[in-house]
Amino acid sequence: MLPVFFVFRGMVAIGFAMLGLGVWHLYLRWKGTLFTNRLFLTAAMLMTPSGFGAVLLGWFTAEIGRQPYVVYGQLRTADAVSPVTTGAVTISLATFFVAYLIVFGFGSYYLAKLLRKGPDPVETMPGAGSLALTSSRPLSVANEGLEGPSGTRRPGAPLPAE
Amino acid sequence: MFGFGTEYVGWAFWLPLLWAAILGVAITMYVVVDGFDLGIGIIFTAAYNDNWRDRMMFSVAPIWDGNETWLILGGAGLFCVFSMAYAILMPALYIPILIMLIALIFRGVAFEFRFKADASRRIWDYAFHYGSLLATFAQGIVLGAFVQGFKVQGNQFAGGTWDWLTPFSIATGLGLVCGYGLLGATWCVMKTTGELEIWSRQKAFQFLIATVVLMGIVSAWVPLLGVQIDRRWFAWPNIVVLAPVPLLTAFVAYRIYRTLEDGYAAAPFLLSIGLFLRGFLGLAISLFPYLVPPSVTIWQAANTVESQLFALVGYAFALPITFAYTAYAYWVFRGKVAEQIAAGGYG
Repeated sequence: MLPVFFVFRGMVAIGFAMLGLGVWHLYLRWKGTLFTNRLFLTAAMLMTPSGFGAVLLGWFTAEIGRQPYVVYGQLRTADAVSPVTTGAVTISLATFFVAYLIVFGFGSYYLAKLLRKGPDPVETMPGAGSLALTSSRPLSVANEGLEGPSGTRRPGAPLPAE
Repeated sequence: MFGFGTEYVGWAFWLPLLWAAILGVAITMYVVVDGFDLGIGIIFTAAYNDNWRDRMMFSVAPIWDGNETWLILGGAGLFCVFSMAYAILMPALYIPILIMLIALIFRGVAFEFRFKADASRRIWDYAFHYGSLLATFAQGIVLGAFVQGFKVQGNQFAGGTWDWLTPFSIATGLGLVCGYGLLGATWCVMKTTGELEIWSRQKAFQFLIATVVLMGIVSAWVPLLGVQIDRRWFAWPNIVVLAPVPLLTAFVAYRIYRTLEDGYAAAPFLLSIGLFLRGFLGLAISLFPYLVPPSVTIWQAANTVESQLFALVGYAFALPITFAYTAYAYWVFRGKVAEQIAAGGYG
């Protein structure tokens, strides 16, 4: 099938691009220009969503590629369908679409804010000890709120007891 | 009670029993541990100020996602070992499970986004509250649907999309909301200090009364449903053996009230867990050996002995590890949450 041909190669191409970026990074590190090479930094930025893309393409490969089977060669998709009405499936698909739109929308908004703000110099961090500098949740920079002055709130996990 | 499944011998008899026990443990663990963090969400917006809400959220922030592991362990076990029951239950409960998942998504991201937002913070307060509330209500509806039973023909669900929606399942949904609210409030009693703790004691008391009332309503309702459960409870000599169960419930509820009044920190929460375990035991006694009441038993729904053994190897590792890291996480984050969050989390 044509789509499978392309999505599979797309996935593999992204994988090799990641490897290439890694090798390039090692080379620049060895040369000592890792943090100053603008071309590399731009490439790294552009590669940010590549993992997401590779995962999606991989799923397309698996899900389209195995049709018309759910268990390849054993069980056909048409025979595996649950007795769920079209209406119910439409509701669930629409609901997930809207929910993901909201969650990704807000996620991108907060992420963009986080990026625009840039990293804070370590000296302005309130709180004591190195633990205050550790980010503990996926979207968190260490010890700071996003809107308002830095360090007004502690996000993420509290410190361990004692 | 042991006339069941005797046409199965050896492994084919014992493995489904063992797996039913494993799933029972996973579901019980889920109800207890995710119950209190969903309960935090249920009482969340009733709190007087943002500082209280911060502290309530911090008290569960390090552990809430680990708590949901048990839901996955239970669901995966059902899928691997009792595929037939899974295939019947999922279409039958399609809408309530959809509601639960969407609600859990919103309440889950609320943990991440709430601390990133200032202007939009209210949104996540309410996402956390309504997400928790809806997820709990949907779980309670699933519980009610189980007691009502499912229409099965051949090996397939033969009922309608909305079969689960009845006055009875709405009552069990409300019951679970009150029950989780009780767990959440008593958790706050244990984990917080000062005025928030006093407020939590009042909330716990209110939810305790609501829980007991709804447990009573649901229990009185079951014999009127025309399902087979009441026969097990009221038949001789079972009634003698089972009579202490409701009495035990009343006693535990009274103890929760006393320990809340007398200023105990951990006892109300632990007793509330006891109340849930009691409810779960009652349900297990009622439904056993049916996995899809009133027609499919655990033996009929079980996959081949080979499949059950295969999955058992995986669970033999996964269950102890999950228990261990859960216990460790609770140990690390033991004690009360600090009153001034900005000054540094746990004291």
